[in-house]
Amino acid sequence: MIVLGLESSCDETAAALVELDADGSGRILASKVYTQKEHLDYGGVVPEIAARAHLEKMPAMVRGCLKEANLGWPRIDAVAATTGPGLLGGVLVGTMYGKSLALALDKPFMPVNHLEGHALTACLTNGVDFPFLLLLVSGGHCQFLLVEGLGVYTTLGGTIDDAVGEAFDKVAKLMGFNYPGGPKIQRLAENGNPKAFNLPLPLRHEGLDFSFSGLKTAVRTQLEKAGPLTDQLMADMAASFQETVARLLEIKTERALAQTHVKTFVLAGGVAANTLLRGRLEGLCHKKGVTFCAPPVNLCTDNAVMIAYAGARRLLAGEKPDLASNARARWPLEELKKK
Amino acid sequence: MWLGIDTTTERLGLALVEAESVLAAETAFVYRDMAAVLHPRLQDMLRRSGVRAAELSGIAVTCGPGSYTGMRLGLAAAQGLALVTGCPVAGVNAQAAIARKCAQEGRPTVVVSRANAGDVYVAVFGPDGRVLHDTALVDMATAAQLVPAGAVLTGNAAVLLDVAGVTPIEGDDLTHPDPVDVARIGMADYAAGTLRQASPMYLHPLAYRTSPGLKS
Repeated sequence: MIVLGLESSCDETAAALVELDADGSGRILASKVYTQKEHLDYGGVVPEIAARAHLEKMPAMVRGCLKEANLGWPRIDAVAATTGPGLLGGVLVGTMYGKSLALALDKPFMPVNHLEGHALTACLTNGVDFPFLLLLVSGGHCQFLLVEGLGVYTTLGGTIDDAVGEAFDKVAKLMGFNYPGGPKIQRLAENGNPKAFNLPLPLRHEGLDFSFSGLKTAVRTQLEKAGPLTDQLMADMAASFQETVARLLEIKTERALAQTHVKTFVLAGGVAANTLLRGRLEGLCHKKGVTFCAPPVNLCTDNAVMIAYAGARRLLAGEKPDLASNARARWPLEELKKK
Repeated sequence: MWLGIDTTTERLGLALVEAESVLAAETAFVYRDMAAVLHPRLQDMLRRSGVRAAELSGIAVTCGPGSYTGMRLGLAAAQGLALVTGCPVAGVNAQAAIARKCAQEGRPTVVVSRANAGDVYVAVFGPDGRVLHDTALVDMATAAQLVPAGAVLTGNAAVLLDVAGVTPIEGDDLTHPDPVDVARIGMADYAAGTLRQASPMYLHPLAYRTSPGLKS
């Protein structure tokens, strides 16, 4: 079965074609992602601007996929689109677009939860089997999920304020860097001393929840105390901040592994692109005898491959398509139906 | 066979129009369910009329003025259908569709629609439907000055305007576009080679501050 997937929940406009066999193995036939540059001057994603850009760019993404895969419309068996959670204006555009494609093709429309897309990516890219522990870390998400089957998700912990990626972006902004500044922290940190600043480890002794807003404030107050912002000072702070986040993720992941006893750990989300964090968690898993997996970086950030794949998995499991589904800004994974 | 779609108000309007005959038309108050009900209702209408999406020769869709989220719903739906069927998409000014419904012999029509913060969208059309003053976002006083003597005054903000000698037409069904009119305007524009691009009418300035002094 070939499924066309659409994603428009934040600032990536994306379409993809994924082929899924009856035995559950899948292949990516095409993937197109437009990362919106329209927000650069605003210091963050502006929902109204995002919705406008999705409407404008989606047709080109879909056409691009058909061209890349050299496929005609009749070959498409179903259409899947992110119907939440996310910025509602954008989610609505992708939802309406996907439903129209399905209606015109007379094929099923499958609504997909964006988080489920992230959760299942490693099944497609790394052939991971259930159950596994997932740490989803991105600009909008930061949570531990126990994934025991299609639709069987338990949130073990999450952030009580900022997401990890958000914290990286905000620290970068404190140093005067444009949005999204997160990736610049890693580059700056290469020349910095990770022990230069002594930053707090929020909630280190308790549970699986995260809190990053206090850490961000600590970065600001210590930078203010340290005097004029020199390149070395910024490098040292970037290295210290990154080291602190790595340590926190290590502590929490070790606790989550002990609590769940699963033998597979999956790291997903845009922050998984950070090589230090990735390396540290891989090292921890190795020490604990747990298999470490991380999807390729381009499939860790928002994309439509994961939406097409999740939609295909649900259709294959016998879930009924739903042309009457509505878009949702909030949609916790626990509300999904088990399949 | 043309499909007319209107999503610029709390009502969803859908119509199938072929030359002089209307195959199906419905307007329903759907409010926040617009995204949920548009496609099931459209599918139902096509089936009842015995029409396949591939048989559509064009889609006419209102592109404002109205709620930005609302008009994007209709535009995304129209674009999606057109991408598969390859048929043209005609953007239609919702106020032109309202004027068509209210037009009276020999008189110009002024359509005044609610916008945010006490402002209104105003447009003036000739007796033949020709645009005399295209949709603009203005305050009430400016809108009142645009109303010619003897005009038909309509739209959901018409009653708020104080114009000597002109009484607004009231009636709930006169303040939103009829999807049949939307389809007919699209068909006429297409036939005349004056197709309006189906992109949203964003008339308000964006009220977001940029962050100055950032380095990339």
